[in-house]
Amino acid sequence: MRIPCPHCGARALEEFAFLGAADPVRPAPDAPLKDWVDYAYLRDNPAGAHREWWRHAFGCGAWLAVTRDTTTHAILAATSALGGAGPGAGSP
Amino acid sequence: MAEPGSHLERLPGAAVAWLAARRGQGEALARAMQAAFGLALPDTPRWAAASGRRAVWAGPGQWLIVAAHEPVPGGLAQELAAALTAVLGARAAVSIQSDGRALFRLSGADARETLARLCPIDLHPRAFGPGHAALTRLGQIACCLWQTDDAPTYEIAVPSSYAASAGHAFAAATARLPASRTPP
Amino acid sequence: MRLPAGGRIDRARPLAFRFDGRYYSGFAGDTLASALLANGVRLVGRSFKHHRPRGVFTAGPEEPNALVELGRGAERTPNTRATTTELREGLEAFPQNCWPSLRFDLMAVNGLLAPLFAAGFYYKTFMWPSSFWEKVYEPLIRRAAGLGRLSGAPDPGVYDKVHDFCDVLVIGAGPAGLAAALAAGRSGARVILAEEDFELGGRLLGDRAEIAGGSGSAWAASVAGELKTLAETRVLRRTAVFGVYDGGTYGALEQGPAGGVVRCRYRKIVARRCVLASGALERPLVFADNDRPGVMLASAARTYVNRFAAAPGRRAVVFTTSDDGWRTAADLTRAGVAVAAVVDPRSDVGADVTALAGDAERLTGAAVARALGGAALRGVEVAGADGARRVIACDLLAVSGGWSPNLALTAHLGARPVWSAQAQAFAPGATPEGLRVAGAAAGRFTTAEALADGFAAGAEAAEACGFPALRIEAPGAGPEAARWATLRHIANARGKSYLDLQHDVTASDIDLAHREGFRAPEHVKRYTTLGMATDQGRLSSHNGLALLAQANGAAIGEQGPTTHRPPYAPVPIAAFAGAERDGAFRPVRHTPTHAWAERRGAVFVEAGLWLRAQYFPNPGERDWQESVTREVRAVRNGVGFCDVSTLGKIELFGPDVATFLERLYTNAWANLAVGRARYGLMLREDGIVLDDGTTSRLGPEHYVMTTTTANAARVFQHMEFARQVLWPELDVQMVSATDQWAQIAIAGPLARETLARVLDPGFDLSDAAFPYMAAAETTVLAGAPARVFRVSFSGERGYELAAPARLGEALADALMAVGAPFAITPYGVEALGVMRIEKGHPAGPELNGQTTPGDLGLAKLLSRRKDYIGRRLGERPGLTDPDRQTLVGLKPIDRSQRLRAGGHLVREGAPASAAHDEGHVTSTAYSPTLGHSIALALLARGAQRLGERVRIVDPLRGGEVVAEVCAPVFVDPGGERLRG
Repeated sequence: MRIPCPHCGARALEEFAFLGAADPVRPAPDAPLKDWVDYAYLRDNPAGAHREWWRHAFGCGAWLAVTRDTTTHAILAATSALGGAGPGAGSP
Repeated sequence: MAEPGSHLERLPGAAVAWLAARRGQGEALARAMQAAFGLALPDTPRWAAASGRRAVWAGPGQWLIVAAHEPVPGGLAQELAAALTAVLGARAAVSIQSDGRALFRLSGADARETLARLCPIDLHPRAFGPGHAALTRLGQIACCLWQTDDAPTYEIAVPSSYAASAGHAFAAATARLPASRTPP
Repeated sequence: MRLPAGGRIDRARPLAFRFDGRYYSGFAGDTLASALLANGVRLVGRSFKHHRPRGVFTAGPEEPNALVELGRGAERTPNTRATTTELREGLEAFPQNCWPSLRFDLMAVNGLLAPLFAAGFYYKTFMWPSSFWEKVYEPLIRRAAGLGRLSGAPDPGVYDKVHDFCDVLVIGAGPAGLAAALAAGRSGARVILAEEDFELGGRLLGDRAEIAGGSGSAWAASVAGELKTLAETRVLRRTAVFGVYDGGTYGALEQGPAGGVVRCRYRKIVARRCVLASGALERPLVFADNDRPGVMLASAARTYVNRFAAAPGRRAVVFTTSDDGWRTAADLTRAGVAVAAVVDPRSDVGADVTALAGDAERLTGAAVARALGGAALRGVEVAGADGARRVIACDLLAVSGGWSPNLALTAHLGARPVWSAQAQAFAPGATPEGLRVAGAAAGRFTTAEALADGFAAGAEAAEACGFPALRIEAPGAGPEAARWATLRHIANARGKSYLDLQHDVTASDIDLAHREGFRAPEHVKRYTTLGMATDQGRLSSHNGLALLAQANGAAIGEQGPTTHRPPYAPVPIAAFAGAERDGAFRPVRHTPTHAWAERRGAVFVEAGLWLRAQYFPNPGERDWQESVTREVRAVRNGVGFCDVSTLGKIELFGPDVATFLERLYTNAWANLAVGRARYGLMLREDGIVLDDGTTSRLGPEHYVMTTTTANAARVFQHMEFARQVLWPELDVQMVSATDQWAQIAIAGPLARETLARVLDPGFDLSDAAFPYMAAAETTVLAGAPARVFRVSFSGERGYELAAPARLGEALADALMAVGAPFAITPYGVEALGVMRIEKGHPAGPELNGQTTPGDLGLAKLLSRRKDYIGRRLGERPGLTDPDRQTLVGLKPIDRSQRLRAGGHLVREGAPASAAHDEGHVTSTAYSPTLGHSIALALLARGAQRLGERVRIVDPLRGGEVVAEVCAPVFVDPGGERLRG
């Protein structure tokens, strides 16, 4: 699998570290405990597009929100938490 | 065609400082660096050089400032850091890294083939040339590398505790190059 | 035998080789298989289960029979296909799967017991008693089964691993592949052409095809010549692409040439476009005793005579259901092999096709019912159109059941091949993105079609990469007929009809599986082991599916083939490792004092990737315990120093660092003054302890954090997530400085006196100016930048001194010199560990991914006035339950007894069972300070049980110790020594 890092260009999987789903948002400190449990543990398992966090650990270090089709491993989008679409955006 | 083979050397005397823009200060930092050192900080994976200093892109909003030779241990790094800090003030963070990075220079006709054994990136002249930089892997070691000329010559920075392993990795890669380097 | 003329071998370069202990001679350009055939060697191995004699069956990588062990001793490589092994001087090969010898095989009795080895044999036979599984059945199966043997010695071969990139990857250098590479290469694209063979040309080498008025092989040679002139085109011979992976990534294995340093090279190829021109595989026919040595694919027979000038027999019969098979008769005749008959079950073969048989007898509407002979073919029994049977003498039977596109690579990413009624074969279904199939692999079986398809595919691929589209007119090629029928099993009362030659799966196994209720191809595959050998069903898949469809009463296309997965070709694990093996399996990190410690004779230990000094033995010391005890006493009574550079060091900058730390750590950070350090505890979001360490404030907007050695990378990543994703509004910059600084812990009652002598003399180290938990920047060794922290892991007065890493050795030397009057002692991680246990500091065994701050007695560090990572979920009842296991100390009641980590804690009087397990011993040490063994443990409600006795049971290693529960701080609980 190759991930198009918006900062560095397309790179091989071996440069990245995987974290997990990118959609859950950290609740407010006083949110109900249920929200926190959902945030920490409850995950969708879609067959299809899935937004997830990958860190370009052996590269620029940016955390990337990568949209991956779980049925084909096709990468549909990759955006950086650091913002800014650099020169590598979209290039294969 | 250049002479076959390649030459590897360690650059023990180099001074390295890590530079990062404060939040939202990227443009101000770039102007300050241009004014003070004539250095145009690249905002893509490239490097720029002026007056003995090289600014190598090291991630979004981050650079390695590299100066080739350091007469006194710690001296130039100190000076570099002090100068950067003084000029840049609140626009940037500066960390001395001269001892944190081991710098290698790999040069010659086989350099690209050697790196093809270690780095999972495309270094073909159509994809990567003088002026380009990349953050990638050297075997299992995180590295920052940049190309300085068409020899081709690459400079590669790895965390200094890995220096011996990086040296072994270069040697192992060189030993595995095909005997005939002419295209089949 | 060798034909007197012709072939692509170099008769000027004879090569001597050995097979099964005998010497033979071949030529450069031979494979091992062709050289054996040229020497009249017909018997090359024994089959897997039945131990039937077997001969060379193919001329390529699909070979099921001619598997040999290559080389001897540690060099030995099992399961090597003789049909793809390039002959070289001195090559030594051994037949496998025969004992005691190839010609006399005791296990051949298995052939007589064949009914026992029917489908599902293993499942049915080796069932009970279960006590037999490991002791009797497994060794029995392992001895009887298995193909080649591994040497058991470390592999002395040199393996290489390369990352390749190109615009267009062309797989296969037959007519379609050569055309595609030429079209793409001429356009200027970066092209890699990968061919498994050592020669380019594919079927053009084995067939007498005509291209552009000349021979096909001459055309291949001219294309190969032009490809050499294209600067951006690389031709990789001996290179098999074995896998297609996501994102246009391909795995390939290149065999090193004879005499080269590298045995094989793993190439990980990233290509923007790929043209798969992998050709087609000829299908065998299924009839009784179709495995006799001398039965061979028709295309292989042509290849042996045309390419290698090696006649695989003297008198041949051709048995074919394809037009193509008839060509074999013509080629064999031309090479001087007598062709007795061509047998074709079809009755509608065209006259232009039958004409190819020349003088041979033409038996259409007939079939071979049985092959005769034992270790060599003697003849065939032919059932004529009228049902009459007759025997035709022959020593070569060339069989052709038509062709199947070689499409395994198209299916690696999950696509399913589809049945093509027109081609009477499975054809590629959806293909991976960027990959196009061309030539015979796409069902374009004639040379003319393959060439046109190849040129088009190559041009299209280059154009897709932005290069000019070159429309190249394909050269004309001679006419070829390419029709065939799928023939099912030719039933015969006697003899075994093999489907899978390598795994000895027969037609009756499919019937049996069907009778027992198996219907789906994947189930039948696993039950019968059809297609599960090293050849992965290349030859057996089609016929097996055809027979299963027949049994199911279905059409073959209705039930799809079994899944193809990488690797398509066998890949040595060593090739994936490349140079990263043995000492280079993973990188080693050296501390700044490594060479210095080495000179002092330190013993090293691995800590993650780091090599750290474990202890520094003195002459005359009996064991490590004695050295470590001395080192601990030196620190407790005088002064010692230890390299702690491996601790993660993270520099933090910016106006919002304090806010950032407040959210990362459980305790308060907003009020940390410049020049002060503080201990901090970090949790995961689920409330479990992640890491601990000290962070110091060196300037208003400059902090330096330390992490544990083990968690340095994890903590950095965790912080980057917090900084980039959770709170991007904070103005914080961070960088690892772990490698920048040589950090030395100087500890002991005389630490201050020692440190003062290396620091800037102007620096005030008095307790008033530099108290416990102070931090400062200064200089060391006459002017080098330095950082000093007054922190302690040992419980003694302690400092950590950081200087630029390259000064590590100089610093160690200086400390030894200035500390000499105090008998300064370098100590290693073993003494460090003893002292941290004496002080009850949690470390790796306690930060085990299951403990909460409360468990470790650190609940006082949980701020209630702020949000931090792990706060909310850490408050859950399960994590604050008073019954949880908490950190305690243990002392043996009998002080002479030794406590061991891993022992489980049970109440006195309670049985030693899982139900009564109350915790376990996490860390132990012999305490030189107390003079006996001590331990840290996690014990249920531990904090309330001080003074109680518990049993430590150790069922794995045996032994039981009764211990007293105590507070986890064994030495100086008040901390007076720390503060001085």
